[in-house]
Amino acid sequence: MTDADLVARALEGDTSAFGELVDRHRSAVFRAALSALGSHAEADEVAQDACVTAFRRLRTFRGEASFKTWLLTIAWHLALNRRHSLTRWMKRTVIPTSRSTDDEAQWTDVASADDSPEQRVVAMQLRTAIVEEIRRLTPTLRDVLLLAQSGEYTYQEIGDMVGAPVGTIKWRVSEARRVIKARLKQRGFDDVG
Amino acid sequence: MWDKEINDVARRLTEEAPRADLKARVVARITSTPGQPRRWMLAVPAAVGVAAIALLAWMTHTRQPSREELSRAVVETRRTPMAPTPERTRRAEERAIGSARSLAGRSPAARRVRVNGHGTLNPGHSFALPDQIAFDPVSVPMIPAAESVTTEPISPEPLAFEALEIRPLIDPLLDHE
Repeated sequence: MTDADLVARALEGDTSAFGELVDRHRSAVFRAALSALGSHAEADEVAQDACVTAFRRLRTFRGEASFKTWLLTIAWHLALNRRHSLTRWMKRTVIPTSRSTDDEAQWTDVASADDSPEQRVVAMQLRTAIVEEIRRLTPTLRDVLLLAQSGEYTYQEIGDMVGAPVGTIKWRVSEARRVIKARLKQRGFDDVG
Repeated sequence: MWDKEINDVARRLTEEAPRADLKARVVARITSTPGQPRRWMLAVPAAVGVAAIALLAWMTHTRQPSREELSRAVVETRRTPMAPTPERTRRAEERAIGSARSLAGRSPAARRVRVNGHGTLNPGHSFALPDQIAFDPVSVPMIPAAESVTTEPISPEPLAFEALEIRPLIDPLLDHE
């Protein structure tokens, strides 16, 4: 059964059909929210809100884009709204602290077991630095890079979500990589690739 | 040139999966909420109610007397004896002071009063005073003239001094010896 069939049944009041749609796209919705928010708990709430909002607005879905794109667009806007609220809240209440310890602990498993201890330490430091530089990117570049690398979406879907042409999306991904590499060089990492 | 590392790190940052009960939570919410009014639906009638109360209060506060009410007041004034008792004088003074204070608090436009009998107390509200207000003459009974006052000459007696008789003090204790 296609998404369009499930949408038609959901419009007739079949909530189980809408539940099937949620099941199909929950991963894409969740990861989009996670790209914008960076928090599992926040992304989970936004994914739920996006699905409920989509059900309430289902009659406004005209089928011009796919249901997945339409749902992702709703989720993306909700996630951005949540991010703005969180940013304001964080600026008021949270004192920034270094997250390097957590980052290093997160990337201890990424190095190959065949590498020497020195190589493993260098690889871990590089990945920790990449995480920091991704977080330092402007939201415009960071969002697109994370969405593109998640593997869940095509460039067209990303463009529909953020409201930009496909060419702009590709340029942003390339620009994000360029900025990260430049900053890694400034930090003294050797380009061995 | 670090592309592999960047892509891998970016992918891992969004690699997590949603909770398994997402579908159940969504279905539970969409099946339980249709009949519940949303917050803004409750806020609209509340706001309308508050606005209506405020408008009513404002209209009551700024309402001007109608022509009929003014005529009725004039008739009442004619019927009422105009003899200025102390109590009536005190009330009139209090009213005058109150009016002066309220006028002092208003804008110059609100204080504008025309001399042709048509005045405005507040912008947008006007009323017309009667052209003439006739008062009955007050007849005060004549006070009878008082009788002439006669004064008798005062003849004071001359002052006379009498000699004081001073007796010597006798203290029995001192005169003990």
